[in-house]
Amino acid sequence: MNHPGWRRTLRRELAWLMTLKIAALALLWWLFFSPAHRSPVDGRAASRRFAVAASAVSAPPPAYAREERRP
Amino acid sequence: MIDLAVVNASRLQFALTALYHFLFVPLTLGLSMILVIMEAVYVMTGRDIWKRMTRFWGLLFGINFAMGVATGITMEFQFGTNWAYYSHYVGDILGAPLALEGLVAFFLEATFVGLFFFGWERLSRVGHLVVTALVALGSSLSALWVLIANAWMQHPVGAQFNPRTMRMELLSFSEVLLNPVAQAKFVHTAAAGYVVGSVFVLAVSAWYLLRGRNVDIARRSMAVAASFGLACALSVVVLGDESGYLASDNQKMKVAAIEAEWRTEEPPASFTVFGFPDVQARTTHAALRVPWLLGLIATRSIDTPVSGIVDLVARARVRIESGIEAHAALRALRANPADAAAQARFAAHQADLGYGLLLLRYVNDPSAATSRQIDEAAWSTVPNVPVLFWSFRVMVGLGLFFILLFAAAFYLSARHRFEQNRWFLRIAFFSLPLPWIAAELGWIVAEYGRQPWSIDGVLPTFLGVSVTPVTNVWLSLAGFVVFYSALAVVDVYLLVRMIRRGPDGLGYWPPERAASGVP
Repeated sequence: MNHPGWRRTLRRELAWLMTLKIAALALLWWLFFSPAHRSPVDGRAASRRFAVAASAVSAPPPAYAREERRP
Repeated sequence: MIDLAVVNASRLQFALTALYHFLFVPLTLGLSMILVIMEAVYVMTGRDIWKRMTRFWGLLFGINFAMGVATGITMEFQFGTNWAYYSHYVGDILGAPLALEGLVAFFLEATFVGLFFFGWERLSRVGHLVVTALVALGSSLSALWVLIANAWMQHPVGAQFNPRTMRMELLSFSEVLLNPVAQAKFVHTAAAGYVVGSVFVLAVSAWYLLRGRNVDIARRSMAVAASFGLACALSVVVLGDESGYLASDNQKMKVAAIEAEWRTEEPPASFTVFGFPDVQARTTHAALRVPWLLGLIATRSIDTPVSGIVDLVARARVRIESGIEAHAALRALRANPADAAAQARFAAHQADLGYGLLLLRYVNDPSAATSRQIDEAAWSTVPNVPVLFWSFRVMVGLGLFFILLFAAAFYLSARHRFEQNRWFLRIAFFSLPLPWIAAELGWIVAEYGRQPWSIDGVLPTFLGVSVTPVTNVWLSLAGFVVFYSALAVVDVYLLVRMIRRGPDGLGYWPPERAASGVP
């Protein structure tokens, strides 16, 4: 622990670890969470999934839409 | 129609990752409490051996803790990747306890784990004991929040479906928090975790005694594990009984499937100790029954019936017919939210909407379902009877075995006769995998027994999956298998290495460091 230059060694190793970690996270994001892999779901999508989307209605009334966009 | 291949692959992925994660959780829960006991003895007596014990078992706790974190995070991501519709439908309720688990419990646990390992020389004795207690508290709180979320899936309270947003919305957080199922599940699961930790300490200590190594530490560790384990093994049975009692009220079908109770008997119902449930014939072959016992356990009375599967299916059929009305009313409401007739119709039937949704597995429009399809949907509410029947019995059998094991250990510990009874040490050592088997079977009973629902009576499992190609799910599942297998190898290697070296051979602490010269 007390050998000369240990701080530099530690800094280098930490830098490598952080780089690897960020690379691994980026890879995971690209593989599973990037926009191409998302499955966006909102009220309209759920109503289609539950077969309650009336085909005659292409868009919900404004009050609906406001609530569906609610975070 | 939903792609059932995606449903099955997503279910398999979640089941495997959850079962794998729960290999680490109960040991974390159990060891953290045992560390508190050992360190409390150290603080009270000032005897250094108790500090060394705490540090040694703490090291094994640390390896297990890291694995638990790594495998737990991936599960929460699956809600988004594989269960997007589920997350939309119930995110308003489940989001809060899961976020609190991270913010309140895990952060507490993770922060104080650091202080636990690096604070021995920097904190006072009492200060370090408080740190260890906070680690244990964080572990238990973590389990509490996750089980509050899980209990809501078993018994949804304090929420209501909103036709405008097409999801369940929270009405009362206190109802979710104080859900009686959550309380029963938490104490049962925590006590089961304490049993896992106690058997782990007992088994490893027995191995040391069989080899004549680390004898002083092993004897004391066995004494702690025996007394703590006995109290917890007894608690698991009592608290499990409470959990089952609640299920007999909230999840009658699950209880009927666990007991292979095909038809409603005259109360009090008999308990089938052994038998071979036959799903096709709807009977149990070679059944060995104990009169009255099921009625007394499940209802705590002699005049309340335990509903049988056939009767519950008939009730499910009625609810499906009501659910068809709810579905039709919801469709009208989606077309015109101001439709007063649809509002009234929906209000009258909305409690059964989930049952109506079951039909979407067989038909695109529930209103067009045939009588046969309604029958099929009604029978789909029956979970896998043989799996539940046997999982429950093996779990209960193991629970009773643990009481005997700890009672024997407690007796031998009180008489200081561990080494003279090598047969017991061998039994204790070979019992090592059993509490994990019991814990995993407990989760199979709880989760597989809830099928076909992801939220009991509210959301069928097949409707919760994401719209994603099945190959994506299989690829990520393959990734999990490879990654988790590698983690398992590392985990077992580290644990075995530390255990083989033992508290006297690690040389991590000042007396050993000075003596052996290990840096």
